[in-house]
Amino acid sequence: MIRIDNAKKNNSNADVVPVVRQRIQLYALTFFLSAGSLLPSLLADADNDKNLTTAYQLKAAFLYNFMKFVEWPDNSSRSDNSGQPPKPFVLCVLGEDSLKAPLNSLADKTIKDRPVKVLFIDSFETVKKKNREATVEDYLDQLQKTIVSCHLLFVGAAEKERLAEILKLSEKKPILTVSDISNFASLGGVIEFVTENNKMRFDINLISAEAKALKISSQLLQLAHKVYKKETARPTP
Amino acid sequence: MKWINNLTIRRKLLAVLMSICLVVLLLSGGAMIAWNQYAFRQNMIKDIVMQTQIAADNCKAAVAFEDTQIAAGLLESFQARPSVLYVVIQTPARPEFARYVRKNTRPAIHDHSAVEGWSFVGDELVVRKNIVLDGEVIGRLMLCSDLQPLKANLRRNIMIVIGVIGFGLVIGYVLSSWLQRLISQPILALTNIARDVTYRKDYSVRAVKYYNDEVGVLIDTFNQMLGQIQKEMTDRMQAEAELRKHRDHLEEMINDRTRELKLSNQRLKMSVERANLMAKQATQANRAKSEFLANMSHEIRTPMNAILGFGELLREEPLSDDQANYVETILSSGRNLLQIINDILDFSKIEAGKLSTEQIDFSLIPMLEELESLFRPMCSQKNLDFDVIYGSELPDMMRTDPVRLRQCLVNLVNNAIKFTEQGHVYLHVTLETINQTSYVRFDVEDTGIGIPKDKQLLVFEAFTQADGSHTRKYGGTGLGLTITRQLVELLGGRISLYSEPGRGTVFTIQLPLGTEAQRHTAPSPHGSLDTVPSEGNQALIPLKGNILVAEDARANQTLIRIMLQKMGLEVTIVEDGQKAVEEMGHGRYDLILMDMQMPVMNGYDATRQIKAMGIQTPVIALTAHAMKGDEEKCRQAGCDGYLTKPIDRAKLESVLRTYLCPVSSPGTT
Repeated sequence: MIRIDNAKKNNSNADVVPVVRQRIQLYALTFFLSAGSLLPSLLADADNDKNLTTAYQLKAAFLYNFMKFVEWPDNSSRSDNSGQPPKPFVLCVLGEDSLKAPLNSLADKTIKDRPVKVLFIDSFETVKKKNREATVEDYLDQLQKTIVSCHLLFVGAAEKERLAEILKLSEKKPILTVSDISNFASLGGVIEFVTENNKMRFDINLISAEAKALKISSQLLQLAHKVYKKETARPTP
Repeated sequence: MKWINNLTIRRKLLAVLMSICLVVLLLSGGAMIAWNQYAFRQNMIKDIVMQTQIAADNCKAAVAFEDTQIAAGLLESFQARPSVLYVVIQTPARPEFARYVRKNTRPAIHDHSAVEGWSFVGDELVVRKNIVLDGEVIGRLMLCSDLQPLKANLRRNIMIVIGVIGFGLVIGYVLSSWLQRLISQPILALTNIARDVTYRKDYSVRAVKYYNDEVGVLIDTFNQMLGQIQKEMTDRMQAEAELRKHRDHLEEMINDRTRELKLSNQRLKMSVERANLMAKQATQANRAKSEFLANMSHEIRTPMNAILGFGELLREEPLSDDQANYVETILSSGRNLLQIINDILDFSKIEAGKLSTEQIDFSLIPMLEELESLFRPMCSQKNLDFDVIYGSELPDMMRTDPVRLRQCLVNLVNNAIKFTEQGHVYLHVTLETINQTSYVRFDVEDTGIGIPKDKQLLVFEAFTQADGSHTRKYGGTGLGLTITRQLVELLGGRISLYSEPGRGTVFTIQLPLGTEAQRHTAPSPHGSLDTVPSEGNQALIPLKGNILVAEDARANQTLIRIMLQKMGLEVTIVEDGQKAVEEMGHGRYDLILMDMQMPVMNGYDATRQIKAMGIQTPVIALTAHAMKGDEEKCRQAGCDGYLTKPIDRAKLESVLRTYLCPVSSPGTT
């Protein structure tokens, strides 16, 4: 909460204070006040629940950060002069309830001056539990309608079986698909979490990203464990 | 800086130009270096800040995803920049998220918490940049660079500037050496010409004018000056030539003059010698003259003594009228002769400055009465009226030399009588006061022939009469008035005359009264031995006594013997002083009459010896020396009285009476 207040204050003050030096000081102030910023807060109880909580928190933070290094083609991200409030970024999580808590704690954050709306989508299993008569086709139809508004779609491990269909639904749509399902990237997903040496990393399928008209920052590409590129179609480290 | 004043103009110009050159080069070089260094520094800062910014941007993702390896890898790219000492990425969680350090260095990491931006810390430039992701500060990148490029740039610039200055100085030297000729060349040429003129005295050379600048004007002026000097030198040479000619001539003239001068000098020397000789001769002659006059005085008076003495004796004998007349003629002629001789003696004494006067108080009236009785018979003989007219306030006494006053008055009255044929001769005596001083005024008035105006001043000159013919007609030496004038002046008075030819003359003597007017004061008997005493008691008491007379002249012996015997005195006569002394040794005498000039022993020595023997007998000196000092000389020798020759019988009797009748004569010791 405090962090967000400060961030708002920072933004509002940045327009008011014309003096560069003061602005620099404010930057410094911000820097220090944000000492208890995103990552540390997320990592705060990493010591207690290393395997679970830390991993989910980290994933949530990664999801946010991915959105910062990716540009969507709708291009409405920048606030125009119409005076209307900017459209929110929609972050969809499909069938992974463990991310609910860490993501909700980030709900008030903005990305590129746009608010973030987190949308949790029930997995087919959950839907079936509620409604036995639900079919996969209906579910997928519903899902197709739902994910149109999503900018990022995290596919939980629960949907591993319907991965191909889900990838197909999001194919050539400006939806950044992320998952920790193995071979997700090679199957056509954009970003796949991998764990290397106990450290969480990610692969990027640049081809599918380009097919979705998503522009991924070169910096993000630099960080990637593997990048699937068009020419070679082979992953490069 | 004094040494610079003595440099040649060439060097001065060179120095000026070169120093300007050097200053300009140094200033421009310094400015260039400063500006370049500043620009370089700004560029370097800008560059490094930009590098930092780029690095900060580049590592956004790495920081965001906490990928330290990638971040370190990114920082490795600073290897291409050797001036970068280290780069550090800090995040809130990790103070050293990633870092790059230049090989082989262990730099001290600066404080990362300082203000964002750049700053110089010692020799290092530290740039701090926040890593901002989507408006959120997620970390900070700090870059530290040394200033090697700046220093290297400075060194390079200095080297370039030194090179440029060196090259510029060389070019400047070449240019100034060439340019200074524009100024120094004409001046040096002018200097050389001036030196030539000074050493060779050649005023015909002219300096060459190069340009129309100030030096050109100087050269023109110099040339004009040379022209003037040349002209003046020519004039001077001519003048000198003339001068030399004159000088040669002058030398000749000087030689001539010197020769003449020598000659005249010799002449002068001879003249001086001659003059000295003559002066010596003149002195000798003067002494001879004085001796001659003294001798004359004595030698003439001695016979005159006899003539007048015997004349007077003869007159008292019973004679016939004719005989008596002859005797009177002899006496008056003798007296005249004596007067003339006295005049001549007086004159010579006055001329020699030897006449001295005395100042004594005496009674004026008796003297005037005596004069009246003296002249009245003479005037009546010529049928002239003579009278002494007394002024109302005439004092009894006056102080002057009575002998000389009487002489003056006698001279004037004699003169008046001499030149007056008919009418009168009056003597007016009055007292007058001029300027609070009392004068006694004597006017001798006659009705004689008078003196023409043009001769009036001459009559007081020696040997002069108003008309040369008068000497023949009236006789006289012409000395009377001259002596009178000189005597009056000696007595402190003055003499003047007023005359109208044919009507008469008035001679006036004014003498200072010299004393307060007093009445009833008797004259001192000692003070005026020559004064004629009153004749009242002359024959009353017959004289008695034994008189010793020392006299060498036989005529005088006889005369004195007769005179004394007639007075009833006993007389013993000796021929010289020696005998007088011997006689006094064994005879009793009441009085001695001592002639002063005698053979064997003179009167002075004799008197001295007699007095030395303790004899109190009065000694009366008899002398023909009518000079003033004589009386004093006699008194010093011991004489009690003094009589002059020729012996006046009345005087002799008066003196004798004084000493032989002590009862009747007061004041005698």
